[in-house]
Amino acid sequence: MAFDVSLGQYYEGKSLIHKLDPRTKLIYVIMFMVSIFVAKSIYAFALLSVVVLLTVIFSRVPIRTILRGLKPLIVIVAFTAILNIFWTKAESDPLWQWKFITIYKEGLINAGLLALRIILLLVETTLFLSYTTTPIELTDGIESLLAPLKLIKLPVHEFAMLMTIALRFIPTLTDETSKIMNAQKARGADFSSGGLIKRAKALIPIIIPLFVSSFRRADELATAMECRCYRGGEGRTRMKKLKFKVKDVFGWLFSIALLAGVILMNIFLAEYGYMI
Amino acid sequence: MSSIIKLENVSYKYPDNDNLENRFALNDLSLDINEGEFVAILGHNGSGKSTAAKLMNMILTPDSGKIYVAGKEISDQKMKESEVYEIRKNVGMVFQNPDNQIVATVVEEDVAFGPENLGVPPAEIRQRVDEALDIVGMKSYARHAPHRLSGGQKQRVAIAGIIAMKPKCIIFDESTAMLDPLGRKEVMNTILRLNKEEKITIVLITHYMNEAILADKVVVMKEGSKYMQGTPNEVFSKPEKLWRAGLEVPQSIELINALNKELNLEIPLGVYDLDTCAELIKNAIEK
Repeated sequence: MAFDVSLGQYYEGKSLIHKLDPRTKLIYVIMFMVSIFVAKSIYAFALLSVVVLLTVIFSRVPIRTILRGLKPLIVIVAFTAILNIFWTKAESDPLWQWKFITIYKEGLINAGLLALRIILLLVETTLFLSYTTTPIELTDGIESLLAPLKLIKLPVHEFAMLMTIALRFIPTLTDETSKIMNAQKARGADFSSGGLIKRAKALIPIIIPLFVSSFRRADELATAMECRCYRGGEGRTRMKKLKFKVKDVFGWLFSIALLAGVILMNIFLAEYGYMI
Repeated sequence: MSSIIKLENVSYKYPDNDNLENRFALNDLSLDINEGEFVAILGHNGSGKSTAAKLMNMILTPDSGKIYVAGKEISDQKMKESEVYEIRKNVGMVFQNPDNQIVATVVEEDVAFGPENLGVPPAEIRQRVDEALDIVGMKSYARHAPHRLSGGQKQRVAIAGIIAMKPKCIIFDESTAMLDPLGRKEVMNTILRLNKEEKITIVLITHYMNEAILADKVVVMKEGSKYMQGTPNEVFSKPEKLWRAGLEVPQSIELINALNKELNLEIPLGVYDLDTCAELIKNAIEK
């Protein structure tokens, strides 16, 4: 298997961004998302683009790797942008008109900025949450950030455990699926011809054994976990405790500064730049 | 030697077998496992050997009879939860399918799972994890993803996960049944090392005779009760009796037994290694 789910798209490295606490990264990504949706001034977009570029350089993840990750999404980005061109109606004179289709200058700018927004957002979230963070760090980070919700009796620990086990079993179940498929093929099952309904029906002999075995696995895993004294999150310690370091403080300050900067630019640089 | 696990006239019936007559999974079973001992439990499918194991660390509670772990009675239905976990900490269990007992996506995280549940302080967990991985010889795989390992390696990780809880006794419930010969050897060597060097009591449930030979004591089960008990030598020198329990005997014994019958020889039955076996046969035939 070429794609290792337990590591996701993790790109091994020792950069500053790799070493940040996952909670800091989560907070930063949330702040970045807010910033990008709040941004109106063209200067704010310039600032955000520079930030993305700098973080990519800092992380030492090759730009080619990041671009490759974007490739499958380019169609969606383009589609959204093009739709935006036709949808925007403005007061100014149209640039081009054909029957019911009219294109305005604003429409083009809107589409361009929307595409930029989506691309910046995708690059920054994948860079912080998957290229430089392993899924296990991410799960730990989420568990720790959501910990206050335990006060209102939300099962935060159970949720994190669920995510860990799901990650753990994806490769196992993938293997199992291909085994079952081969077994059914060996008995003459045909998965690749016929119409949609016929193909969907052909999947039933795969799904049912897969479900049966998953339940059996779940049962055995539960017994094994009980044998290892698992009793939920209470009284449980962790081998690797998340610890904030000095660099994390800078991370938070940077996150806040970024959002503040974008808001200030919206207010004070509005008359100098294009606003949407 | 003091006894660490003791079963006294234990019977158990699976709840969904109520309507079937006389379907006791265990029927009046008494068993004594001493501290530091290596006991192999043999039996045909459905002889109750796995059920017996599940009773020893309170996954199941018996319908009647008494079970003691380290002198403490555990067959009492009204035990406190903390006491249950204390028993499970002391009596670890390794199952058949290595895939279904590994919880985490990184080897060392999985080994840490047990001590984390016990509330051990982080620094000590780290130490225990390193030690446990060292004992099973998987230290260089600490940062690996479990699904990339071979069956034998996965099973050794599962064993490390139990060792990290520092149990007094480990039960292996057909832990080698799903492995290839090489993996089986790896795991058996680990088990022997645990018994000899770490002084952990071992209960090995198996249907491989050549694994049972390595034990100090062999218990053969049939239809939920104890059928035979003794040293491997004592048990395996009665091939007819073993056949009646639906079990095979080690090949060397089968051979000697056949030779004795066919050629009217009188080679003593016992567990021998290959050379001794050949020597004995040679001497007997020359005579």
